[in-house]
Amino acid sequence: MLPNGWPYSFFQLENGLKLHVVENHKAPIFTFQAWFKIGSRDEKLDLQITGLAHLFEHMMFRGTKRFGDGELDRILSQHGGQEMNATTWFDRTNYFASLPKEHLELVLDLESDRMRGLVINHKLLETEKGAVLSEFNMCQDDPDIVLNDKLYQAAYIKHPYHFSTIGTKKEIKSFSVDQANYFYKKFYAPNNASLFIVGDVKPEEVFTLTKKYYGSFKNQKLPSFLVPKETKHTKEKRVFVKHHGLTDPKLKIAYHTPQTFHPDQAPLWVLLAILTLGRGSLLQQGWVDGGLASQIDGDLDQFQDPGLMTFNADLLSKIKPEQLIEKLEDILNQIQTEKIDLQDEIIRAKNQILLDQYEEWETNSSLATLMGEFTMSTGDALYGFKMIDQISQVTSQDVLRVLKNYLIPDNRTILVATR
Amino acid sequence: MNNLITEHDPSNQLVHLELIVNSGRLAEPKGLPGLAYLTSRLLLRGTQKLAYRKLMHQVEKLGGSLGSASDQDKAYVTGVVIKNNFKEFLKLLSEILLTPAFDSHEFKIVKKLIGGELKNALSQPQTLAKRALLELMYQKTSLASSIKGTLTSLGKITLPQVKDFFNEFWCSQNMLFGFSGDVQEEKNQEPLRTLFKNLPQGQESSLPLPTSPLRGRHAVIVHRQNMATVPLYIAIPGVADSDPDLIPLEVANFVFGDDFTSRLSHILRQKNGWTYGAYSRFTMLMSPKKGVAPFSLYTFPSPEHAAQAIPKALELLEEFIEKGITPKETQDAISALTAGYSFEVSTASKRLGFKLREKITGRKFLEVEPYQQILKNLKTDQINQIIKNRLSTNNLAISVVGDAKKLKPILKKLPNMKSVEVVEAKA
Repeated sequence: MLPNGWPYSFFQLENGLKLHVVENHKAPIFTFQAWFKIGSRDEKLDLQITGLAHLFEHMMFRGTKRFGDGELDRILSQHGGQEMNATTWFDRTNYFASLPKEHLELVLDLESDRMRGLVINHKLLETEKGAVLSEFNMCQDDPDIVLNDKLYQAAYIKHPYHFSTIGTKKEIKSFSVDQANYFYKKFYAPNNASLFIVGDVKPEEVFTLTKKYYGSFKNQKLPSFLVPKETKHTKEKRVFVKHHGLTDPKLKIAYHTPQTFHPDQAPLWVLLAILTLGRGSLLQQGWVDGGLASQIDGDLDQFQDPGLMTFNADLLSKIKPEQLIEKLEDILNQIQTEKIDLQDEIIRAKNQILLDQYEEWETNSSLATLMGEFTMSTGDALYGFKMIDQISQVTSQDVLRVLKNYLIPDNRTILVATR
Repeated sequence: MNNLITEHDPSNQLVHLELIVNSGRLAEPKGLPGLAYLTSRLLLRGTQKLAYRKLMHQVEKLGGSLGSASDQDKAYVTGVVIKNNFKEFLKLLSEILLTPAFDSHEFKIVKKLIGGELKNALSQPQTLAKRALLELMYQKTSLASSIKGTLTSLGKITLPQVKDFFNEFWCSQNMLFGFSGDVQEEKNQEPLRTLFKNLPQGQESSLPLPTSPLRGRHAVIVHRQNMATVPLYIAIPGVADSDPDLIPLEVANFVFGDDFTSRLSHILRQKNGWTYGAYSRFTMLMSPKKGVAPFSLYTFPSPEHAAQAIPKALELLEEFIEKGITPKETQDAISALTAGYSFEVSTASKRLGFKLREKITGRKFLEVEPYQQILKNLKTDQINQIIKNRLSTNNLAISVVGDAKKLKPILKKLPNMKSVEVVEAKA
């Protein structure tokens, strides 16, 4: 039973495919998600290009031997399919759709079919490249997307998180059918996949149908990469970027943090929430209400390799980035020297994290996504729930310790973007 | 309490709140665009007992969150809280509504923040295109300027004006409360009763949406260079939310532009690779309204394909209205919408949303079976006749963001264009 009261079952086929089933009988619908442990991080190590995992995600919608180009979307849509899409990121690629409960077998048939029977030819590849280039262009107009890419390029030198998931225009244009086929056969293997089915379903029925449609797939020998470790940063980095779409400057401050399953993640979550989660957070008060920024937010990466904790701000006119950096240092200092009631802040932070998590648990698709992401970064679908337990036990000493170890100038990359 | 709607779900860990007030851009006195929005934002900036920081800290310690905003004809306070703390949360909400601080220091801060947001919007091409389109469609009406006002109009608004505005519109007769989650009304009746008793009664306001005065076909270009995509909106007058023709039109729109399988997406994206996305909706430009809101399509071709994509998008819209949809398309759309309706009502907060919508716009909330029955009774000829009767491209607005030098000739060549104007984006 999951903490939200929904029953959970796990199965694994002989070919290595993992199946996670969560029951929610409140409405006659379900969500299907297929997660593959392949993202832009791995393609760089294997193929020495970036963008292929993402382009390939697009190709997965272009038709199989059984179902022609566009048929997958059309069939799912005709049967009431909702939220039909896919995403690619550093560590993984996922495909998802939600349907009325009576179409479980249909989804498993279609999804298993495109996992093994995809048609990749020159014409389809060229047309889809057009769509991906359009997406690339759309991203170029969005300062937030461009700046995020630039931040990771600056923060990582050796590790493949340095490279943008979408790749470069040149790379997108140059992908060949051979590369796409190689990628497909190698990484879209059952032993590299996890399925999540959440909704009005019966676990045994799901297992039986999954065996029927995926059971004959052969597992593949998956490559084992030696991932270059990022060199420990010993000095603050500063990057200056221009973007035509900006009016006022944007600021990003990123600190290197450990991977998801590291014991410091729980206190780092609490620290992030103290600083940025909610209108009562310290940076909201210090930066926004202090007249330095119009909006702020923060992120803590949940990756399989060490990630970043990032603070983002849209500066108000005539405000200099140094003013925000100084204010941040001041706030961190106040925490360390107990000028702030840290215990009270921790209570607020923990309840805000709990609020966030309860919102993730409310719908089939958000719950499946939560479990999928943690599966990809830790190997444990239930890690997100365990993390909540860990967070509930975080003390002020834990918060002070991670602040001292991670939120230090030598460990950070600062990006300033102007017009 | 007939302005309270609840949707009970005892298994939910959270309680969601929606408070809707008949306020918004249409309620503002002339010359003060942005007053309604500023008022809704300032409302949460402290009470007479609790300064803003303390107020938010208390709300968030309960595992709660509050936000506020406004649009053309409504102001909103939305919130959520861990259910065990619902009663305490309601007490804080009551304090906010009954004794807001409207403090001069916070007033200056909020003005500055909204000013920052207005400037930020200049870096969001889709927002620029949307705003330009609404200004074009509703010129000379009070909807022509942005919900948040402008930097100039913000500067003119005074704190006494905010207080007067609040006192006039934020009263119990003019409000609708909705809660979803573990909210058995009996259990929480007391704090709600107290709140309603203490709120000034006031009067219910009526804020009818103006009809678009646009005659003929007009376009506006928001000049911007070095764009990697060309955001494009095309809009025509739609129908009111409670109009019985809306459901058949939604079936038709499913075919035309609702998702990846639609005609728009198929032609502009899959077949030609001109754009990453193309959609059309009755509620793209505005949330559901009692009055007639625009029907619009949106896409964002790359500049090198704009010369083909823009005329093609218009051609597809004209063809859709002229020729309608085929029997096979009707069948597929009905099948999809029938099967998919369970999602629309799958959670307590979604059902609450529908019930609130019914109160606001008059569109009846339908459970799954009645909705499916309506759809199953629809025929292709009937749908196509409705499209022809209710939609027209005679009065049409187009907005694009991009290089005016390149875009103007493309737009001028479109059939029956009466004007193509070029503007610079301003906050």
